[in-house]
Amino acid sequence: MDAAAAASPAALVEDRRVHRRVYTDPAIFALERRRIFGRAWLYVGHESQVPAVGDFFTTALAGQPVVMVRQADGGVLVLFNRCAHRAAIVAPERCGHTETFRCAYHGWTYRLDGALQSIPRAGDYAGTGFERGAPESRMRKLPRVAAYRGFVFASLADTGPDLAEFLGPAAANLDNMVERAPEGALEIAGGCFQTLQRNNWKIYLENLHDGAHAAIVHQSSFEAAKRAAAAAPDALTRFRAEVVAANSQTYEQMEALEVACHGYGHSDMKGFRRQSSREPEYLDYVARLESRLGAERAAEVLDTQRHNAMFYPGMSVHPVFMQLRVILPLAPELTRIDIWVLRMKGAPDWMHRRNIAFANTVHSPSSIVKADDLEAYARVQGGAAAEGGDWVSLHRGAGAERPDGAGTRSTALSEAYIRNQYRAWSAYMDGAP
Amino acid sequence: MSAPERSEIERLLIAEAELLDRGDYEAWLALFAEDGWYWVPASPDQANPDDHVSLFHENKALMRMRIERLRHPRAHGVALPVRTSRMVGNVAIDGAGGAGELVVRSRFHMAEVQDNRQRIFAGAYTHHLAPTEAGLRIRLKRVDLVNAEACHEAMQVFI
Repeated sequence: MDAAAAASPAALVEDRRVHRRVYTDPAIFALERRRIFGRAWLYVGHESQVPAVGDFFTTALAGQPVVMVRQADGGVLVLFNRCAHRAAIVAPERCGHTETFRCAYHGWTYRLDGALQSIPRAGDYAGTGFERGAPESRMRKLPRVAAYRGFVFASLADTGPDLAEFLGPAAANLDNMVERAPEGALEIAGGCFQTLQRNNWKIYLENLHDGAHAAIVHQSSFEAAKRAAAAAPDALTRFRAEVVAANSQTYEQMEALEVACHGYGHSDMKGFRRQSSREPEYLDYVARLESRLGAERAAEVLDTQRHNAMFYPGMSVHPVFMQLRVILPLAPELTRIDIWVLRMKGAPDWMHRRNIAFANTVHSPSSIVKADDLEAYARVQGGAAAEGGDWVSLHRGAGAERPDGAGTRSTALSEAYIRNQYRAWSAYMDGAP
Repeated sequence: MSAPERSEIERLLIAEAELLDRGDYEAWLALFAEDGWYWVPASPDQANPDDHVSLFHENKALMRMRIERLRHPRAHGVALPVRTSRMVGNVAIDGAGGAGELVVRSRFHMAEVQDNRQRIFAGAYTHHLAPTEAGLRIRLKRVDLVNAEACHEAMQVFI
């Protein structure tokens, strides 16, 4: 590695290729945590996870423990999950309900907004220089917290674009999810998959709209699935087999799928499958949706088919099947992905059951689709250790992007969305995004 | 049909474990009733597989799909073979379930190896066994992992 590249992340990224060190270098990983995950808006959780005052949910942002908590005034705050005394995690549970946050170590107690409420034998601090009212004597709030239609985001940076500007045109994916619900609201329901990948976090994001891998990586599962779909004993089994078989699309079919690239590294892809059916249970759903939106708007919402949408760097969603994935980088070669399912309020029960079945088929650790993706990711990670070739090619489709407003459009055979991610990567890593 | 002997039930559990550990998934699948299910909940005490995600929830058609993928020469995830070894014990015959089923609970420990990486699965098996002309058949095998809610890497073979 030459000295210039070691000194500057910019030297690791060119328009159409990136240096292997972006996947392997612990110093780059540490810098990404500070400059990308430390600056971007990161998805924390959904408001439905904390419906009542005192309900809380814990997670990590850029490797830092945080807690999302419902306030007495109805608002949702995100606090660093850290005691002001000796730094202990205050709320170790994944989720729960509390009147106050009480540290299990020395009993310091905080109100739901993080303000220090009490310290045992507080008089011992008289004359020590400890300032009870100082900002560092509370559970501190994240610098910025904002919600978009129930999705709660936070930023570790004091400044930067506001959430609306950050989401930009990609917000339409979240709009579409919400609008698909007959009551116009979503809730997290049905548990969570926590999954571990032995690859850099970016390798996962770089596969999200990759139409060129499916025929190769997923051959074993889609060939088995085609037979399973033909012999399926019931509709839900057929659905699950068809979801797997969908990866058998030809290059020509993939080329017909449009991928839109937006600012800040976001992107989305039009869907494989048009969901339309004359089954009474589906018509029941459409009727419920039309009663709120009217027939014309309901048709527009249902015709908006997006397979995957990516909110760089920390979240992706699959709007049609109400899947939400949170990307939690743990180390250069280790990434945790949490997968949630959203329930559409007011929709018939079968739709949530179908979306759960989709999660079980595609996102479970046992998924026969994912198993081969993970193998491919792990091999990229492994090969990136080789000095035999320092550069990773992102040339596919370069120069063929069509301008579209501030973004571009291309096909699912183009690596345009990866190049778009690295434009954001470079902007974050080198300066302001 | 008379009630199965305890020894017959234990023989079935041991034979089932042995077929999985030998990788004879086709013979293993034949132990299931035609309407049989294999279920690994994603939460402890999970009440049902319909409105909550599961680590596995497969009927015979979906189990067969998994097995056919494992057998495929381009199943890249098993290019390096996955091997398992398990012990089944603490067998308790809980008595009759619905539809003439016998409910049998047991505990297991299983080591799974791929490449040079080994991990341990442990937990409880619950078998719902249906007496048929051909002998006992599995109508439901439920696997409650002690770490059901943990962060998991890929699970490619049956537990």
